[in-house]
Amino acid sequence: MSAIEASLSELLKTPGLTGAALVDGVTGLTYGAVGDAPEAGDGAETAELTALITDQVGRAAADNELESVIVTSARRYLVVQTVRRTGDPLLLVAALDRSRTNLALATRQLTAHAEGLAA
Amino acid sequence: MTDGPRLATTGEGTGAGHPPETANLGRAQIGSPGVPGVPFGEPDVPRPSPDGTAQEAPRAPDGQEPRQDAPARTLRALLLGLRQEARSGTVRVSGTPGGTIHLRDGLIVAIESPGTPSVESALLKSGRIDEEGWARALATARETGAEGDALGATLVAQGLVGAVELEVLCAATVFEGAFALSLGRTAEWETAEPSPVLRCGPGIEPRAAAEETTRRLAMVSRLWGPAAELARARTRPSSQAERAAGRLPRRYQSLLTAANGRRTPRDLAFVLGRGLFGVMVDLIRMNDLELLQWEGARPAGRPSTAPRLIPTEQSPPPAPSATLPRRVPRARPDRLGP
Repeated sequence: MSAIEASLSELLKTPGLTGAALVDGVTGLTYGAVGDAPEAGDGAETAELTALITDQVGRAAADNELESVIVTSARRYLVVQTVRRTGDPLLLVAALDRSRTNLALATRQLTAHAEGLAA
Repeated sequence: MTDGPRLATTGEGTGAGHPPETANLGRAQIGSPGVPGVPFGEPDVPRPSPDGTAQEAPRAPDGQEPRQDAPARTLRALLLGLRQEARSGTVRVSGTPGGTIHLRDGLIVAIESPGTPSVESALLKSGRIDEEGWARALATARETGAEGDALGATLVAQGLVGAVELEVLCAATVFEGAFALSLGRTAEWETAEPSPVLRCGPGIEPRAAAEETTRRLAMVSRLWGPAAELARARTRPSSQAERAAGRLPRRYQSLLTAANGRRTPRDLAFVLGRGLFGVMVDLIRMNDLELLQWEGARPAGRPSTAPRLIPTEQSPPPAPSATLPRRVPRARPDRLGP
């Protein structure tokens, strides 16, 4: 297993998390995916959506950078966490089952994981 | 994390599984001129051809090793064929920009091309690793005897770069290399024995590289125009850019600082230690935000700034060629005429 997949697999221990992917925030390339990968969505589309939101966030205030996008649907959450690093940003994408997820806890775990990835 | 024991760093040892074929790999096998334009990303290239090298279907009726009697017609077909045979080796592509594709068990572990920064260049240019640390890791890797293939593991072991980070960088560079190769005219190629190269992770399926390249070419074509023309365009910040500077992501700001009207996207990629396609995507988006002005005329037929989440293949790509000056690329030593 690649180092990327090994790292993502740790996320599968998060209660309610069904799938996760690591996506390039600029090119949209998916570097790795675990669990129910299609649930984490298409990497290129996620990157495009996130870039659009990033532009909005920048317009809202100076020195304002996007940290995460949370999409809430009737049954699921989709959390896109920005991974800041020296190079182009990465996106940590997680699909969660809403009935089994404590969103605050899950986003905290994703944030911590994103920080670990960039290290 | 790495592939199996068949990964050889020298010419010997790769033949274990495929004695006759691997021996053939040593002989330079010149590809025919192939299809000019985008050999890597051409979506419908590996159609069955009479010479029997381009298909994915097994060609050996009685379980024999598939034979490579005639050269593959396109780079894509060649790589798919080599993947099927799980070959390790090197494919040297001539032309502009040209490059070197490194294969282990048929998977692409690295592409080096003058068209986009290498992993080494990305690590050093971006400041992830300093020259001193690099030199130390190189020396350690040399002691182990396999400097190229061991270098990645050494960098991680010495704590200079994280395993995930290096793997991301290596994968990104393979796809960037495939994209860069697709922008040039590929005159011909030859295959050779494996040579050591900085690499990490299991490698990329040639099919995935080809599909992603196709997607990238289509995306640039949809949002801007022909990718090969964007690759030659030179840009500088617009008058609006300065006013917006504080509200822009740092990535855009560093691009604006580096864009001086003389640099092409490729030059910017090398200055910043970023991939060519990544730079192009940012430039297109910055162009939509009216942060850039282009040397000569602005690209004509620019689509609206609205994001296209659904591909609109029906609409013809905009044709900036009408007003954008065609720049003749500077002659490089590696350049062979198309």
